[in-house]
Amino acid sequence: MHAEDLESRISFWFAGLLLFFFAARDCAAGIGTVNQPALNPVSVFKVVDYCPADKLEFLQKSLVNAVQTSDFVPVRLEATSTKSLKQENVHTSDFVFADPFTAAGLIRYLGYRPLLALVPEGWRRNPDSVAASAVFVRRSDARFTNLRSLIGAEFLINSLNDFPAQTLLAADAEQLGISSSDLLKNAVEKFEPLQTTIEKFADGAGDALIIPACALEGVDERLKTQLRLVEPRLYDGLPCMHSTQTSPGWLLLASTKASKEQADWAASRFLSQPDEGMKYSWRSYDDPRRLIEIMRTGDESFFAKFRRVSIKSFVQDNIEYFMALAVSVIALLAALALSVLKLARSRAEMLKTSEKLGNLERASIVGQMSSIVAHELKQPLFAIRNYASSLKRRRTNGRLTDESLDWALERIVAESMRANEIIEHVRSYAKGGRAVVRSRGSLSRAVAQSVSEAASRLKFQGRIETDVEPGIEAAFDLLEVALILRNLMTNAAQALESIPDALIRISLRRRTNESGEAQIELEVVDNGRKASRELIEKLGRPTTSSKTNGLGLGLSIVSSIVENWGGSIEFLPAEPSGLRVRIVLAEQQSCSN
Amino acid sequence: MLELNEVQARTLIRIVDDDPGVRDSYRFLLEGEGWLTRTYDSAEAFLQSDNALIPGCILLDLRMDGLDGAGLHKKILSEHSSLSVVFVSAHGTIQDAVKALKRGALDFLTKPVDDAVLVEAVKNGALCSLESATMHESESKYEELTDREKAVAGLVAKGALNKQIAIDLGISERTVQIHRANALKKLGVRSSAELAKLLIEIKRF
Repeated sequence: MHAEDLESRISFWFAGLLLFFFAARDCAAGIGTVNQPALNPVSVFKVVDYCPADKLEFLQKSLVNAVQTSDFVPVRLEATSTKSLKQENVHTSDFVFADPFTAAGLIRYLGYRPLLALVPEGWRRNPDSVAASAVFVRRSDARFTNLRSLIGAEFLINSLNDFPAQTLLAADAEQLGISSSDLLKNAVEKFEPLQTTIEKFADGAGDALIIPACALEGVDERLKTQLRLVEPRLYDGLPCMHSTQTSPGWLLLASTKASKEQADWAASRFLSQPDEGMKYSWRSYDDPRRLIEIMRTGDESFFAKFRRVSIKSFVQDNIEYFMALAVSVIALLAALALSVLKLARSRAEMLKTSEKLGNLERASIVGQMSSIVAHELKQPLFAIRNYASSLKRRRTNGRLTDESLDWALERIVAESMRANEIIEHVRSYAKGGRAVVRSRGSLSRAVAQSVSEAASRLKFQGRIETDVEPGIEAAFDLLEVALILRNLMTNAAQALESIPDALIRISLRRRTNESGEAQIELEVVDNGRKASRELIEKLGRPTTSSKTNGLGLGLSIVSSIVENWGGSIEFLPAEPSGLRVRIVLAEQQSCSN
Repeated sequence: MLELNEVQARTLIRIVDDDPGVRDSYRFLLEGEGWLTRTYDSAEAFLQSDNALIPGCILLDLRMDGLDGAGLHKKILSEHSSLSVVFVSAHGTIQDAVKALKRGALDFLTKPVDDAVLVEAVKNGALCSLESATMHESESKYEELTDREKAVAGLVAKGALNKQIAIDLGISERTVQIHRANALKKLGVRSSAELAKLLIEIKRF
């Protein structure tokens, strides 16, 4: 019989065995309820797929008894594979019934608690034995040290007495992460007395010998001296070493989803089973140390899968910490931004006396920048917040997969880097003055963004119209664009105080000058009082104003940015009244070629 | 009342925001709640490729390069009859909010939006949109009925027997039966109770 057959037989078994008990409420009322524990609506019991039929039957009977003799407790029994248990089903089951290998992984990496073990009637020893089959090699043969090194070796299998040795080895191999078909591709099955097979093997037939672990006892001591045991590696003092055939080695575990009350309920109901005429009974099992030991003998790859999930469960279990981490990153960034601004401000103040105009300008820039930065930071912080709260929600509604978790964490990191870049950018601008790196991008978008940002800061009651030609590309620095528009719009708004139907018009478009050169033109126009010739001339001169928030300084900031940018600034009277400020830049074609 | 998963299967949430980080985070949040989403980086992209026939909700950034949120809202009003609009803005003013709500936006949220608020707003939006789309469908089906069928349907919904209807309208009972069957078939309902419910929904009862 092959492992596949066993599996399909069991899954067929399960298909017919999906049971759903709903003991009627009124029935429970008739019995009288004693401190009914607050249970989940349905307690889900999962059974790992290669559970032997007799153990499964016992579990099923236990469930039936527990439900019949107790309060209103609907339960459901489902089959599961080790693989799915390791992946998404972790949080869909309350209890898992599993072999020691799987149990060890679940306890160590997924936080399951062992509750009970299944032991045969009259059994007095450890219930958590592991291997089902015993594998021998000849003592003189140094090639084989463990099961893995035996892949493809010539096996002699003694299957007398209906012991499905081959199937048992296959199950052991799968638990060790070895493909059973690879392992057993050169297997020869013998149907003869055990002693005969062992003698043949000792005389040099085949590479390895497989017998049911239980048959170890019967092996002649004289022959044993010529043989070396490869599996099982863990000695537990049982008379026939390990064997799932004689020792149950199946455990009932509570998942992290099951509440304390639920676990207590299951343990107490199962332990108080009437055990007349049953092959097995339940026993308390609350010391997983031996299972952890078992795990050390297991194959890395078998447990590696648990471990991978454990990162997920770690995050799930500690999501509050992750969120706290995200929040503290945000707080840290904010604190950094503040200290940077403070630093820059005090620096600007320190230099005030020596370079009056330039430093006033810088102080003003820094002050203005703080609100621009606050706005810029909003986007990445908002995105981070969305990711973090979504992870929390997904964890609750069960949609948190490994992929989504990885993706979101990556995005959180990316967004916090973006926030950091914004801060770094401001810091270098505040520190180094004009050492600005301009990068190419959509000037249209930058202007639209800056206008709306500036508009939201202005205490302006009139209308603001924008006419931005889409798709204009240029090398610029977003901060500088924001500063230009902020200052020009503030000036316009001040000029429009107490003017009826006040309107500020911002436009951005392409144009060509007289000599046919492509240019970009940015205009801020107001409909204030008619601009006099004197005013226009005065605006054109380098300013000497010392007002920190006055017209002069704002314009000097704009002029120096524009000059640095290689552009020009013009002041013109607008029609029928008001002022038109026009900034012209040469349009450079993208020099990517 | 429709089940949430049914609403989710029949609606599409559109996200229009020019910030890629914010856009993706909305998508992640809403897909985690089981919604189908589609993102657009501008109002123009939305107008170009969105399928106006699918009901749902649009999360709209107020300020964007090119056509802005308010402008897109106006266009939606003329083209997408059933789409619910929820504005999300980082720096919206009270005037913006008042304007948007007067124009029929379902909600006006400011960034950063609390996730529960956002999810609730989307849910309401999708539900409203789906209901109004269903109503539109019912109305257009109702308009396909002949006057006689409408009259018969109205009386059937009120619980009148074929015989009474025949007398009221002065036609034979057999004709009533035919009109009744046609009306039910055209409206896609199976009983007089369903018919009554549909007529109440479209306010023709």
